[in-house]
Amino acid sequence: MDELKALEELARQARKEEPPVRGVTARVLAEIRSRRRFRVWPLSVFAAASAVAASVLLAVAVHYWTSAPDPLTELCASFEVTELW
Amino acid sequence: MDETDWTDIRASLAGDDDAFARLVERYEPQVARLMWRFSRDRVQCEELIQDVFVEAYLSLKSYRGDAPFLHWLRRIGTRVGYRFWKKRAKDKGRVPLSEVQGLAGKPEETDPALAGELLDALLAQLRPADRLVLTLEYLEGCSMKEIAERTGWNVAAVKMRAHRARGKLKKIAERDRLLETLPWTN
Repeated sequence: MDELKALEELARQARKEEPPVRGVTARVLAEIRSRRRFRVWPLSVFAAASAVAASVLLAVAVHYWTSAPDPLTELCASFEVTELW
Repeated sequence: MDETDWTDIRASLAGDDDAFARLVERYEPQVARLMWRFSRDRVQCEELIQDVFVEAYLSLKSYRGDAPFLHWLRRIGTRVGYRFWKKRAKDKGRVPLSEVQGLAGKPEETDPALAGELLDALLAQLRPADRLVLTLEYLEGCSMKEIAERTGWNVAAVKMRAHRARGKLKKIAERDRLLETLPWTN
């Protein structure tokens, strides 16, 4: 008997083997649910978080814009209009 | 195409998880047998089975039903297993044949698990693509056409690869003195 014939005999026996694995149905479903959540979750949360962040930034900017003295007004205030003429 | 499968596939696509659970339970033994060829480690094998079903779920929309659902699952399983081998090709360990003990005097009396272990030890020394072709041929009993369908390679390329891989495997078996390990070859 040559090596390849021997391998074929081994393969014939090996095909009868039953794998000693446990059921994975529960794990598959858990993984599917987590992926589904992951796929929907970031888009909606990202959109909401972006809207909140944009509003806060806008409020802060408006606050500083209105409360701080205008640098152009301050610059002009030091000149007498007549002096310019 | 099995009508029960179609019903469950349609329900799964509509978001019914119980329907997909029924598909998993129905085909898990066949998928487990296939993935056992790719890893003989129980934990790893279970992860591979899980990957197959998750991948199947994610691409369920693309299943057209022109072949039985099991064929489609087996194609996914082959792809998942091959990817696993390619990733692990660099760190594979080698089991010396001399460590395999308890072989029976006749081939038909050999313990299937032991035969599987021995064959896996030899096939693991091939490159992933060669190993895939011979694993599907020897352990899954696939024809060259079936191997081509499962892998997506063309039949001529599969035949050529199988021929070369058999030559390489023969050399490995000679070097590792396979015939001396098997009591029924003497």
